[in-house]
Amino acid sequence: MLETDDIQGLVLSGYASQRYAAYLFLTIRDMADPNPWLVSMSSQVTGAANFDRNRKTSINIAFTYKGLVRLGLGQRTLATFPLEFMEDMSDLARAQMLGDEPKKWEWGKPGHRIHILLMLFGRDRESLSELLAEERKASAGIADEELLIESETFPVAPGSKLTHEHFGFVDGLAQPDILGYRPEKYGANGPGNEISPGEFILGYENEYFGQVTASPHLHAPDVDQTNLLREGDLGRNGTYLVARQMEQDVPGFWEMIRAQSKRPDGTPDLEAEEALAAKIVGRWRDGTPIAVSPDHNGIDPNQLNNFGFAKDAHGYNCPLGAHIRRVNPRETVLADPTDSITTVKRHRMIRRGRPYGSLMTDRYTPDGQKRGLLFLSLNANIERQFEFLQNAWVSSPNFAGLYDEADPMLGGRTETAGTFTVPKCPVRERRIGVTTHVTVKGGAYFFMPGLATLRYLSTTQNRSR
Amino acid sequence: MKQRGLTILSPIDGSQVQALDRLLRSVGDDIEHQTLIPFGKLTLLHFASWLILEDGLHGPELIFESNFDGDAKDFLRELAEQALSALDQIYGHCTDYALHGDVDATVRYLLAHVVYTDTFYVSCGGFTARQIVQENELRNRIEQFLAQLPPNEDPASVRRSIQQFVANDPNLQWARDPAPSYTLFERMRVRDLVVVLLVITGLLGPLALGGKIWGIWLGIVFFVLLTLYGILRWKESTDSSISNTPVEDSQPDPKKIEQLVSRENRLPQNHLFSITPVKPGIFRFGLLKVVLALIEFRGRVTFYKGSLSGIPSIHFARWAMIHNGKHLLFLSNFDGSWEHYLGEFIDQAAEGLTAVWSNAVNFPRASNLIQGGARDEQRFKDYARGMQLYSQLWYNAYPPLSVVNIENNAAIRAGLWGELESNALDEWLRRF
Repeated sequence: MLETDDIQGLVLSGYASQRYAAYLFLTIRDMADPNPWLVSMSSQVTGAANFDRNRKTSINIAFTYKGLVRLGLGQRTLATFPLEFMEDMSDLARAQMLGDEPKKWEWGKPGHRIHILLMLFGRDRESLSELLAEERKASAGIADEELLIESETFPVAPGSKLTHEHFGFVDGLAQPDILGYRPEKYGANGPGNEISPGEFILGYENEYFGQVTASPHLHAPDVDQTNLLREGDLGRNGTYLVARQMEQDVPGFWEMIRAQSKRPDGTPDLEAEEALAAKIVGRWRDGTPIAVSPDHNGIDPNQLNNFGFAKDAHGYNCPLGAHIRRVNPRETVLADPTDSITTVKRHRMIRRGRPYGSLMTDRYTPDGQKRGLLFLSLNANIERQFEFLQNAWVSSPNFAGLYDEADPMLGGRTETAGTFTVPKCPVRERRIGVTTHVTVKGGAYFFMPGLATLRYLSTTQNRSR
Repeated sequence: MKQRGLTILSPIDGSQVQALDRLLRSVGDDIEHQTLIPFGKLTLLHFASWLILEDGLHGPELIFESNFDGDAKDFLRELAEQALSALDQIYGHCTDYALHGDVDATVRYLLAHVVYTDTFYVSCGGFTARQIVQENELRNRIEQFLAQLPPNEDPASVRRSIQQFVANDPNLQWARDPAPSYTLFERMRVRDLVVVLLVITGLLGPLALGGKIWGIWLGIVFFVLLTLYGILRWKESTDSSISNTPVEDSQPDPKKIEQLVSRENRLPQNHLFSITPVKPGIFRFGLLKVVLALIEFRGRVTFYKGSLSGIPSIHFARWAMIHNGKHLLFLSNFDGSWEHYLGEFIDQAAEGLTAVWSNAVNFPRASNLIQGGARDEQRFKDYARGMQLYSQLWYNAYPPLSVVNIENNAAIRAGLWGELESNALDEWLRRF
């Protein structure tokens, strides 16, 4: 059983009813004492047990490694955190592995000062801006604001739970179901979607034969005099949060698609554009997976994630290198479908990303506005989940037996950009110039503690200083 | 043609370690533009590395790993002829190399320092380096041709067009002949054949002395094996192991990992070099020898077509028990990242790895030789990182190609001519 009264709400819910969000990146000032603020914060943070659909706002919090250092955890305690969290996303070797260029980032570069990520959510614009104002005021005395990203989700229809991102595709469909947690809520998903909780929450069994994922814990001189933690376990009911700001050039993307899809006489072909975009993503814009609906002949909106690639092993419907196939290859990452599922289950993530920036009115005409997706993913082992997925599947030039090709939407570590193979009969069609229009603008790794650990972090008497 | 690997160990002059490290690094840092070793002229070479082992048996040692086509002597001669001054410079840091400008003597020196490789694994068995590059060129040329081919509904005519294109291209005339075959006999190592013969004679030989004596003999063999198994179980329960410490407290030194990863992921392939101390005593020594021989045997019989126990991403790998069996050397050239490689190990081949490394000091606790061990995901990864050493110089003759790519290119060539029935034709066309 999950200890929902100790888990932050965002881990178990995407807060779909709270369409407005603000992500506040804070740095604790050098001489300031953050404890009173943290104490009040730990009573405000939304837990997984007390979240109900009717509440107006939610707050969640996460810390960078630098943040935990600043809060005064001792060296020996800090050393129990995993190396990738200490080094952060912008570390030179990690960037090489991920295919990133942190030099060009706007935030999260190696020398960054971000300590805290405060995530604020509201049902409507007013309640969010009220909450944001309050939290800015509350933190003003102790912290500097490094960055603010504001977000509004775009439901496909008023009241719908389905939302789309800026290119226009329904997003966030493939989410893992947590094994043993509210099985009555499981969606109709493809094979292998029930995943052990230890993949997403520390302190529980994971997909490796029920082993428990490594969890940071206290070492002397840090102590736990008031018995907030179970046996000094700091990680329990917490997780790691990967934040990655991905700017989307919407007109660039659709112009590229248009240029690829013109009729022989040079006029645009809307139908061909939609078909190519679907091949790139692996879904039609309404979320229908092309693996099972290549002709877009309708599918139950509750079944959008209920499919596999086994019947489309050669990619005639959904290309082997399509975006959704790279991020979740389901039964087709290894020759044997059962082995595939076993492997894929060890690399899944809970996704909590949201779009930022305004919706475009005309997808072909540049309006000078910045927009994109703040990608947020939750995983118990960043190296094995987010980093593996980005390196071995998304950005790998050899994924699925391909040659020098990367995710057609996100790009990757290729020698020449823009090759995209679309399997066909009698022989494949090879697109050249399917380049990415997504640029990483910044990113960082965070630790999202359980509520007891948050209370522990807000008390000084337990720590060495 | 058969692929072989040499592992060559030479003692380094202690005062020369830093200078040699600098020299090898300067080549390894920019393998493409360096001018010391003309790798491009080494036609037989697939993968190679030079590594410094600071804590060797009697001091620092230089390890030279090579994976090449054909005979050791031919490869070393080509190397010495093309890169003699580089070898003189590199081996000039060793205590027992006083040669300069003498190809024959250098070849003799290198041969004299070869250590025995217990297990040598080749993924694309029989493919020469030249063939791998050529077949990729074939595929590239056909891909370019296909880009200009008008849309065609008929698979057979697409194939005919490709055949015509290849037949008319003066640079692709070699592709009109099939690739040389690679027989089981060629794959086998003399050692394996001898051992198989000995085992068969050992088990069946006493049959000649009558059924009763044979029965007694089998009983003795069974009893000996049972005793050995008992010893193994006892050792497994008493050996020291990192399984005794919390996983968060046994993470390898971050500084060391930083150095290791600085060399990783520059190419789609990576290199892994590790040295592990073997548990002391004749029992572990003998067991490890047997396990390594069995793995190689199995590899040569079954896993020679692009996949080692379901892992489709290892080009070449080897284990060698060095320093009179005190240390186990492991060298691997693989596709993808370290994390990907280790993940595949655990997902696909945990038993085999455990059978090998459970004979090494501090490995995660194993039982019955093949259980546990590498399945302890986090400790196994920590252990592997902890035992890994920095590769100063690593060379790869065909960087863009994964094992899957190489196999695919070969299948394109293999299916170019002759009759293909419709399923096979579709499968062949899917290879583009």
